[in-house]
Amino acid sequence: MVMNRVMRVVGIPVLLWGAAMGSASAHHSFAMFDSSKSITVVGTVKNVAYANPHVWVDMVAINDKNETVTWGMEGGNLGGLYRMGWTKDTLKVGDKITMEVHPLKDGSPGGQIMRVTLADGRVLGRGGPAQQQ
Amino acid sequence: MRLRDFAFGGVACAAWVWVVFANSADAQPRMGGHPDFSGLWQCRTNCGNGVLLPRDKMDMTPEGQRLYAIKKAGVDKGDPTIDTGLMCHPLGIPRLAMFGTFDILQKDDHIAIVGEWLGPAREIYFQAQHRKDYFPTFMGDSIAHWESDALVIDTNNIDEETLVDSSGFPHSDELHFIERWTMSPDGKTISSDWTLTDPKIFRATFKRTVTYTRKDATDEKQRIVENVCQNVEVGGKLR
Repeated sequence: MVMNRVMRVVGIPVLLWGAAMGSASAHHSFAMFDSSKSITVVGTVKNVAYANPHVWVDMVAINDKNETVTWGMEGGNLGGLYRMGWTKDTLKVGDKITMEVHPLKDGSPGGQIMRVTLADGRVLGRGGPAQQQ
Repeated sequence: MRLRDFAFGGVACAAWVWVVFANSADAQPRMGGHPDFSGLWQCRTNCGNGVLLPRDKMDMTPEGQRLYAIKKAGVDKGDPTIDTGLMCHPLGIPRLAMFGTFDILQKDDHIAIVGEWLGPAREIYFQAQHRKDYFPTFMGDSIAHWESDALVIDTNNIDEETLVDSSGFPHSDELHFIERWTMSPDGKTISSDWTLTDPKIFRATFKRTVTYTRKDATDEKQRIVENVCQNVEVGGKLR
């Protein structure tokens, strides 16, 4: 069931991903994510950037056409993650993880991190809202 | 027991009770005849990147309505040229008074507030007049005075680039923001009554109460951490 949801989402052309993320300037908005939907992506960590205001995790997953797709996942701020149990060693390149995310509204492979399940079974939250920090 | 011994015992007992309660962790800390707000605090009520002003209750001027339409549309689509915090500019006051953890340092002549969230510290002097002719800033110009045990902070000269809240309410160079802080008798909560006026944007005064609760500064997980907004390149893309 989890994989079915993943397949449906990653079936959307990867070209849209380039259009959404190829912008010359960065910005830090969650407006591009659909907070009414949650999907689960299973894959491997490709890049991690522990940065404020938001952590970034690229992960590689296989879609229903057996193609490799890179997902860009945006999470909370480092202070909030730290208070939720994240450390500088929580995610490393090559780790097998499962992410529950709010997907990008345009359907390209990316999401807002809600929950991460690590290879050892630990489940970590996204860092919580500001008032919980 | 003689009456004199009984009276002495009563006085000693009362003194012991006073000493215990006055030094109890649950007592309101005092400094110079006023509450001492120093310490580590957490925004607890009406906080976060939410909506401070209810749209249906705000009576705006024509200029306010015009600006609100522009700002709201920009916020809704995550446009960093409108909601400039998205490109790492400080959110400014009052938004940053609603975010996360604060370390407050109170002195005789001023109060410093170090917030964790993406903004400079606030330095608030006890004086009657605002600084003259300085440039608008994200955090504005704040001065303070005491009204009995209430600390009143008065802020103006806030950069018009900032928004009043995360829903996109604009403000003008006439935004006037007053916080009236009171501390609970047990020293564990600050209640901050806000009053906002901006005659160019709003036809009425807006009031709100934000509360802060004391955090345990001996727990290093609760302390302030660095939070510098940055644009990073990840996998060849600027994020």
